[in-house]
Amino acid sequence: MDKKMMAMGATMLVLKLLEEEDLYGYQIIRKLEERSNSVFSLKEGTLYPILHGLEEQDAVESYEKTTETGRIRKYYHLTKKGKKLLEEKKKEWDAYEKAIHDVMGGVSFAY
Amino acid sequence: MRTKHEALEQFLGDVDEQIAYQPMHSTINEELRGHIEDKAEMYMDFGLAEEEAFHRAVRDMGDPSALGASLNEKHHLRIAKPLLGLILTLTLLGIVGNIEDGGLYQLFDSLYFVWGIAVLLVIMWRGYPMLLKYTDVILKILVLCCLGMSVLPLMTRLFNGDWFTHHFLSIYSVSVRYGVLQLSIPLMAVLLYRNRRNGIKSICIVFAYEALMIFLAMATYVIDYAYVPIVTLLVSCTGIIIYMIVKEYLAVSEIKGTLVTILGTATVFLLFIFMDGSNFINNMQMFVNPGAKASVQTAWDDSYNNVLIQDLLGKAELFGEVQLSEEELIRYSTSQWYYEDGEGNWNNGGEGWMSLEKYTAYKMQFADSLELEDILPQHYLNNYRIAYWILKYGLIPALLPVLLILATKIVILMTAWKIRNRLGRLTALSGAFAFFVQNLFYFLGNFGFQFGQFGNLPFVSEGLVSITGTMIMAGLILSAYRFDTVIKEIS
Repeated sequence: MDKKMMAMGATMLVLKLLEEEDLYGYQIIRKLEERSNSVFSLKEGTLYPILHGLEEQDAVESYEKTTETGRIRKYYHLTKKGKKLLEEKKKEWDAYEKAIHDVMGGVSFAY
Repeated sequence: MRTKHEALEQFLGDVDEQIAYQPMHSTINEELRGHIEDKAEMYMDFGLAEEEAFHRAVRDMGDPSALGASLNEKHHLRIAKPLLGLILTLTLLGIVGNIEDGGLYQLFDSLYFVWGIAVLLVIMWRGYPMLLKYTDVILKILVLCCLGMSVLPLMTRLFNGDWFTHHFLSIYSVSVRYGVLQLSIPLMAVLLYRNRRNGIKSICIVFAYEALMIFLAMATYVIDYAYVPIVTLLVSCTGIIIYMIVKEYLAVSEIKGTLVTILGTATVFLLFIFMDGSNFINNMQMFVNPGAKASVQTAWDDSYNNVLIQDLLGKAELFGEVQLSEEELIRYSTSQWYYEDGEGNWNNGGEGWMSLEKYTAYKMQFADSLELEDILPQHYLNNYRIAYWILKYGLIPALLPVLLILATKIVILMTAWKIRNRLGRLTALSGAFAFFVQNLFYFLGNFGFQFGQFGNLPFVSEGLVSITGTMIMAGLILSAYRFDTVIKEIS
């Protein structure tokens, strides 16, 4: 898969997880691994630039929460703009998937 | 082997090295530190010793320099180059115009523009964070300035101050007030945003401030000079409030908020009219129907300037200087074109302190070598930049600087719009609103519809105080844009 599609896929998956609930970085990686049976393993070096980029675009908002042990966690929350972005990413992905299918999936006959 | 602490700190230090904006380091470090600690905890749950768990967690983070470089791309300081370029070009146009007015004599005034550029760069560099940090202090200083500038002229009046002292202090206070009213606009934007959860109350604070400024301005003799800045303050603040209501930043329903805003703006505006009384009516007559008022005044009257500039602009060429015969130049110079040949009625038919005959005789001394510059309104070329360009170079060439001025205002608005931080955008928008209103009144004045006394044409036609105010506002817009990706939204 080319880099652009990988980045698009990773962004889409992060947005999808945040659509369900507010999460912090470490949680996002864990959830993604759990939900994909470890097929997707997002690296930290990929995740944080994606999250900060989404925040810059107003697609997500962040806030801090302190745990009982005093550790500060930065949670990300999907905004309205982020929901729209997720829809766009889904459409782009569907178009990509269809194109792959059209090439790999054989010939369709007209009757 | 390094300790867990050393491994962690070295990783974070390597990330920091790649992030140019230092105040971001702590926020990013905190987040990454939490992540590493969480992951180390997971490894410990799987049975690894603490040291090993931390080393693995740090290693899993990948290359710190690559991560830092990627984060730096999202958090670097930016420069709005198109806007900065346009502002500097307009400032250069202002300097050229100044020298064009009076040659090297005006060179000293051009230093104002150099000072303005210095102010612009300093404010762009640090202005927005400073505004956020010292909002309350700046507000107190501005109110105190206005109070002082209103009390001084009153004191001289109360303690038998002579006419000169009274007028001198009034005029001096006018300049300071102009700057104070200009700077109040971004300040009100910040104050309103900070108090947004108070809904109606926060809107009322803005109107109360406006009313106070109007009240203080009334204490001086030359209230006309405050017309443009007062209306600029009123319109810009109303614009900010409406924007905040539409964007649902204020804790108030759209209908209720809009009604309160309309009511508040109307009340403050009526207060302004009521306090200024007949003076306001005279000024409105000069603004809307200058011919009617000019007929009972003299060649020194501002409404005469309106009539004169309207008449001259009617003769403008598409290209090149307006064509006037020697006789026409003399008639314009002596104002006979209006008071003898036209509808003018010098001093309403009375003598006044100088008759038309005496005035004509005085002007005839200079009739040998009259040029366009000699017949323009009272040589206030600084106030008539656009009209002068049209009359001197023609309508089409004058369009170029006018389009440049308009383009700058559009780029200001676009730059404000690009700012994602809500407070940053609001601050920038407040400046954009103010510039639009100032431009509008300056343009109207140049086509013979002067409102009160002439204001400034941002970056082009300025005095020392106004250019300071203008450059602070422009600097704040550039600064809000510059810090947009690194200053966190205040929640």
